[in-house]
Amino acid sequence: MEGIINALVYVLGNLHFLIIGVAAGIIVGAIPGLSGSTGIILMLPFLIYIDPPSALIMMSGLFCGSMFGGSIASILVSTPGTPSAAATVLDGYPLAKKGQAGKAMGTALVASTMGGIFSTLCLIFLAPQLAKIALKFGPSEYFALMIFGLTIMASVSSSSLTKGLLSGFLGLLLSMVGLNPTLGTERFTFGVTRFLTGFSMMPVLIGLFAISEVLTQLELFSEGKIIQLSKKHKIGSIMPTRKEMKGLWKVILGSSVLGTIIGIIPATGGAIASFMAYNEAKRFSKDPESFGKGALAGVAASEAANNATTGGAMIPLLTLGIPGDVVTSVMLGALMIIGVQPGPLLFSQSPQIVTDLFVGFMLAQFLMLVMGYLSIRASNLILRVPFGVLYPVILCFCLLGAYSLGNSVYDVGLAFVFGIVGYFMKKYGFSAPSVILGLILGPIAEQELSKALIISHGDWTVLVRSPLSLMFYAFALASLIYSLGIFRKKNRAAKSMS
Amino acid sequence: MGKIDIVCGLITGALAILFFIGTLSFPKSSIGINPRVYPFVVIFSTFALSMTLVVQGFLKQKRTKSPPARTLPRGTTALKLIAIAAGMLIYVFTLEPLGYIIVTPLLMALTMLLFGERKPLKIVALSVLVSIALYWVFRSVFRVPLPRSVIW
Repeated sequence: MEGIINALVYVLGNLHFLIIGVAAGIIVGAIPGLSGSTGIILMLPFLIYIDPPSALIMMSGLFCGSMFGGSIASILVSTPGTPSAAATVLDGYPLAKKGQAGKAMGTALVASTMGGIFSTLCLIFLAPQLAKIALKFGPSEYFALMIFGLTIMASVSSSSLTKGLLSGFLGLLLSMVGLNPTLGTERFTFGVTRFLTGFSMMPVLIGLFAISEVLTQLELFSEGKIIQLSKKHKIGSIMPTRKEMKGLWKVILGSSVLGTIIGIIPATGGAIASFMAYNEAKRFSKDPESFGKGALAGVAASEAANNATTGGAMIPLLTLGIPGDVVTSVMLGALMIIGVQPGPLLFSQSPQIVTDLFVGFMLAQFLMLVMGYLSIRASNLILRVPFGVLYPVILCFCLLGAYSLGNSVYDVGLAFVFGIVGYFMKKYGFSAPSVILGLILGPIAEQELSKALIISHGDWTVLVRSPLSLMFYAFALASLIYSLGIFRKKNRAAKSMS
Repeated sequence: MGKIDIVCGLITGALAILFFIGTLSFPKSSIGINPRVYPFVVIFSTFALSMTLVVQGFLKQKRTKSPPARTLPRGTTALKLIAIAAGMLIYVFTLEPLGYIIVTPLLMALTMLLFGERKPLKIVALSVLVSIALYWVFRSVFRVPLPRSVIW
């Protein structure tokens, strides 16, 4: 109890960081082309200069805010601000066409808040229990867990399983540059002294995610595939009435449960959760015909589910150090930059940071309600930010951010190189999040493997002796089979479309 | 896309070979794991996946009867992308000798132009003001020693 009071005092004393996080999240979520992961990267230059708990709650606020923010563009211009808001377009845009954009966004806001609160409660109750179990893991179980984590790299890719895996293995290759973690001997530096320290996470993240995004947007802009919005949209009344809410609470609750469960499962994420919740809401609805034509229940289902994935996705991230989707992959990288190592030891060694995060995460949901309301009022302004100002500022900020951690021009050069690489990766269907996963999880996997073999005096069977290890290998296999199934389905759909 | 897959597979395959050559100079160790084992697994998997991509590329090329889709940006788009990349490269090399406050507004102005901004006053005012604001925040608040020039 004392810990919760201390955390409440701390978070209230640093509420401005949470407000900035939520506001920034809503804005980056609302602007098509930007997302929660880009938002976290753009905040990194600031995050490294504030207390780790404040940085953590700021990132959490951004994560939650971006999920709701994505619905604004989905509803107003039929372009999902984030992939998680794609299902919101189905009913949100028809509602906007009927002149009820405000009501659709208001429903999305209420559903997002309720989904977020539900998943935060699950996070608070489930994460410490899972961390207690994870504390019992030895090196061989950890190695198996990292293998499972690495298989997620296949599913965060959007175009092909081979490219997803190859991207992850490129991350693993890069992670080996520098020093051998056991012997401390030099490896893969190819005579370049700078490579001795390996590749810093900050310039790699900035390059692969943010600079590459500026280049992609420039290409789309030049080819007329993104158009600067100039039209003002009619917002109308915002909040759903009590009668409307009465008809929605069952949908919101069901979608929140579904979203939280999907969020906990690594390799899934908000987009899958929102489409599944939408389908379930339609299946159980008394009026399924209204779905797709402007049903508030459709908006509520997808938004409650995608926001519920936030708390769910934080559970494996915090307790096991395994990210569940693209945003949490980036968040894992950001956490390491600010000096917070997620995993079970975080709960035993820094319990106050964890409690601060829980309290911050819960407060973020309520703040989202207030700031979301204001952002709906200002949505026309957010969506009409001129590209000619937005992307140049982002680019300069990225290069400054790359410089700021190590005060080194070399890091700016590294961000530039990875920006170009990231642009081509995106263009040709490779996956930047997979590279990051490989870069982060690779060294941990190697260290745990080494530890396990040192303890067992070189006996490799130690890796498959524990039932927990076998369970993780089974999960890894299931994750790969699941990804393969998804890609086959996508390929079949693409073939039938063509 | 088949041709691109072949090229990408060959590039990543070459990278795997380069890393393999890097393992030849590894010292031998009797502590725990042989230092070559883990890198070998990663390198071999990267190479195998690269070759899979090459084969998939060939198969895709065989299956597709229509003319290959455009894979690289062309015309104005290509010029704009080359301009922004060149701008960033020049930025990297001139940041220390010329100083942050001189090179950043220039890069920002170039990017604004490429993103279709045409009002000269807006371009100059915004690029200078944003650069100065960022300079002030990072230098004074976060104490980041941004490169200074003879002017500032």
